[in-house]
Amino acid sequence: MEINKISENIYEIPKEGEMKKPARIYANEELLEEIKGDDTLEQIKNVATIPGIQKHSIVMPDGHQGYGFPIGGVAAIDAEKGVISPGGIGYDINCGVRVLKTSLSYEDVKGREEQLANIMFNKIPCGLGKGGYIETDEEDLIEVLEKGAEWMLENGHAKGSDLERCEENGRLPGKPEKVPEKAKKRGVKQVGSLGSGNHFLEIQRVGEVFNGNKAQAYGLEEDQVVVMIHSGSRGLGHQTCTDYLRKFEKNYPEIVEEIPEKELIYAPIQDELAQDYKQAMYAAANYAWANRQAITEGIRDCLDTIFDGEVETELLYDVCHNIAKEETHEVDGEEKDVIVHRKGATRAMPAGRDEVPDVYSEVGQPVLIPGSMGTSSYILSGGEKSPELSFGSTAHGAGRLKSRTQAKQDYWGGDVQDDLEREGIYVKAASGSTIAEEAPGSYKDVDEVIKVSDELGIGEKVAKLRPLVNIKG
Amino acid sequence: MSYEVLEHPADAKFRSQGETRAEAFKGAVEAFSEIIGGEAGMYHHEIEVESENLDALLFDFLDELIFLQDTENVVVSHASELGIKELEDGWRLEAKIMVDDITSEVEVMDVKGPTYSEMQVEYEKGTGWIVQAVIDI
Repeated sequence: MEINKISENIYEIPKEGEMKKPARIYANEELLEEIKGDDTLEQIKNVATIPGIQKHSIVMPDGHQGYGFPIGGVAAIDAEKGVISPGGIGYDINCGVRVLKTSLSYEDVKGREEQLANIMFNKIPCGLGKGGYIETDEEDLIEVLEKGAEWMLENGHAKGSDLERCEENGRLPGKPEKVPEKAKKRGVKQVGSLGSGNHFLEIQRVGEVFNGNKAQAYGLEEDQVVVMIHSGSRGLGHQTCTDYLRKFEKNYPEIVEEIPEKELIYAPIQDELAQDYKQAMYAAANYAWANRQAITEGIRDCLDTIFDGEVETELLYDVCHNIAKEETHEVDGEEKDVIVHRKGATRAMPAGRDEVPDVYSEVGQPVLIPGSMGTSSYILSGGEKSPELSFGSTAHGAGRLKSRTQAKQDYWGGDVQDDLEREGIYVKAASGSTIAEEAPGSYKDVDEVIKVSDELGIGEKVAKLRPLVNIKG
Repeated sequence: MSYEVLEHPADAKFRSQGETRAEAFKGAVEAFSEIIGGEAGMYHHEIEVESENLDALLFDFLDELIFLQDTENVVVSHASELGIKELEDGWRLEAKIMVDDITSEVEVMDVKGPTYSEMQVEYEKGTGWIVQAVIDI
């Protein structure tokens, strides 16, 4: 495969065959070698064949093989004449990350890690069949799907400032009636649940601060305790994706014939089915915001219990990393409406863009990047170069390196747990095999991923967060 | 009938084989159960699926297993009975799926959905029916 180096950290696969645009890889040499280890490059070439794609298909430095689109894939597609692809968003619609700031410092929680882990693990449902933190019935669910975080506010599960600090203020124009019935059945009892796999809750302390001014604007200071939440739309989002993939497949046999993988299926955006999917996907995104908000409420309740109601908390931000949204970007010198598909990629808008919430208008949007279990996470700010280079996007995490089966052969959950505890990181998970699968060695080096993002100027380093307590589904 | 859980970069992959399609699909249920952490199977649920081709049948069947777990609060163990027949315009599967309740002590993996990735439902001479799929976890 021909891969040309365009400049530092930018590689390009030239347009060939059915590709409508070139494909770009944002990585350094080392990460590029890792990316070459699976089908990511083949998949990003496939993404470049999608009708209406603008400029180039992109894979981020944490990219790895997915279904249809690679994880870490970004594609901006003509919003009028293009298509929408459920595989460009992923099964877990609006999987995302939020960071809750607290008034606690490291000294306040030191020695109480186990207590914090136990109470949060017991209170906040994770794994299969444990229900949700808040009680919801079918009628509530319809409102959650329509209003997202707003419903949480109306029903006493959120503060006004939580909504101001969410991408899209925690609500997209979703239509509950477009969400499949099966999806609703899966979702009705899961509002406020972590799920399993790579989803987690993590109590962290602010470590290194790279940019004092921006850290101040974000209200972060060294040794401050924050809580990171990584979860999505649970069974509801997964079922929405599955059902629409099947509908697209049945409705567009001629497209199935042409595409190399069924999960790359797409529908012309003006078609009724494409519009139905978009509205269902937005509704599922609303569910994910409600879910992360309910988990936030759970954390606030746990902190109140442990610290006698004396802890203040404020949301730093909430970002989606599995979503498609309508945005305006410059293409060939002109403003163009596009649907930006981000699958395992985070929106990273700099100061000056409308998408940045008012509270951060001077410094740009906070970008929240979780590391793997036991390694650091990062707070970045939307980079000046992101609109030009990546349709306002950057990476979303460390990116998996080893298969789950390989990880389980290489690590034993108990050993990983002990090693981390020696480093001062307390881990509690549903099972030992989850800990082995998520062992730090199973992931790419998050520091390298962040370095590429920072050097390219698509997401700039603000602060590093060190884990103290990790809870996994 | 036999099955194995295979190596996959991010998710879970399995392959099963049997003398008949139904036997191979039965193996798929057991592989699914091993992946998520299922147990013996105390009682049963009936599943019926109709799909346009055999790949779609496997996809929809796995989807039903996931749906069953998420909505009935159970964990899949195995299929005590499973039959597949050809229709005029596709295939029909009927199965009796043995399950257990999820109790607060049992931790079971939550599955996102089925995928078409690396999917195989094929007859191989000398081996029999092969069923292979990747599930998103």
